[in-house]
Amino acid sequence: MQEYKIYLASAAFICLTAVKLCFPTIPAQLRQEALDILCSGTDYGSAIQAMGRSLSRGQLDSELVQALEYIKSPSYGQADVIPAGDLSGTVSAYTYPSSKDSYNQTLSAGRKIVFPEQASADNTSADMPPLPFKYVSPVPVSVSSPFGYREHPVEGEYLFHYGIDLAADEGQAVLAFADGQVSFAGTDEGYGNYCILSHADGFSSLYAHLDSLAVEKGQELEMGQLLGHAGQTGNATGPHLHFELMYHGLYLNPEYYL
Amino acid sequence: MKTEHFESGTAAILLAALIYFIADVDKILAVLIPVVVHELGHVLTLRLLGLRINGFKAELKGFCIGYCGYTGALGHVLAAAAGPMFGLLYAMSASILAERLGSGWLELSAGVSLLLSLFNLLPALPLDGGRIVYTLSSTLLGESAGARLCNILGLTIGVILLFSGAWLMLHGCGVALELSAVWLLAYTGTAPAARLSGQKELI
Repeated sequence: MQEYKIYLASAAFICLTAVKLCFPTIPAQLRQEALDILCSGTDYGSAIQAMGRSLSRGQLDSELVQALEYIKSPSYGQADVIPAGDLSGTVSAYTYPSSKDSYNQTLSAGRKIVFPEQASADNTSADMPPLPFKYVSPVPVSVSSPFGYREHPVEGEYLFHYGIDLAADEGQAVLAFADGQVSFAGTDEGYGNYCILSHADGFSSLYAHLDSLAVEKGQELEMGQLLGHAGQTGNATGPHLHFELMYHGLYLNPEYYL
Repeated sequence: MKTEHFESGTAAILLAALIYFIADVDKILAVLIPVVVHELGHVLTLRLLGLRINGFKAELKGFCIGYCGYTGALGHVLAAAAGPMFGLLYAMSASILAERLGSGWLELSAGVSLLLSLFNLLPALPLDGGRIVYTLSSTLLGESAGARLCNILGLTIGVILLFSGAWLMLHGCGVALELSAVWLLAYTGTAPAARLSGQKELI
């Protein structure tokens, strides 16, 4: 082997080992991105592992069959939504169709989950239509509870979360997501102090559990303008901003845009 | 004097460095060990056939083992088949052992070895399956007809993989298969080296 290649290989090895040891998050992030590109949502690792397991048993592993079926019809939308009713024991076959991050999260088998009769909120969408305007995050992005089914912190039931919870301190400034008009500003038992902004082309955003509102109905706001301060009014266990994004009455996952 | 040496393309070094950086060590080993077993299959068989190995090459194309010496068509076929056979044997034993020990890592390694061996058995050059077909067909039909047959087979399989890969991609399953199709199509045309100093390969 030519000399420069030996130097190249050993230099790369030493540098990469050093970086890997000092900043273990960098390889992990890169790995996630590489996996996203190579495999998208499909877990090839488990499929290959299931293949290895099947070999000694002389029959196809049930997980492998599942994986093959998944590849045959991997629709993220309705097909993956766990149907209504008592499904204890069969849950591991389904992926969790909520936020982008939990797409691959398989619910653990044996966990009993009873979904409301109205299976997966029909008025929600896992799509990500492009927004025809500029926007900013109302508070610095730190999602404390994602969009989708979750165990409700107060009700204790498994309910659909129509927006996302962003961690915020009491009194922290909440900014307008985009240019728009305040179509509602008021109080509700669940939402606490909240307001709704109507943006262009049928999009609107909702900000809930505010400590105080700085706007009134009908007021025109610019993107990034102060509309209130974060708090824990209404049905909340701590100060945070509950943020919803709607498009013609359809709830979108705001996390895609933040 | 023995002249065994190891060579590596720059691109292969960079790719290996990238994989080393990104992947977990246990995952790398789960892939590396089947690869080593596969190559060991080739090497041991070549040695048993009395051929001389004069070098290893690691390229984007895969691993090549350069060898020289004379053996009949059957010898070439045996040497080519030995890699996947060793791979399948390893997969089987790793899988059985995994069941005994309950080791997920061994299951993974067995699965990788199984996939690797099956992929290598595809009758398309430069895969082992393609080498077997090439050796047999060029012995039976003559050198040029054999090469033509292998080119056609390679392109056909490459295109089939390309379409299946595209289908998987559209179904949200990532570009893994598509990449392997592109890899195959990129290298399938490369005519095998002369018989006597033939190269045995691939991952």
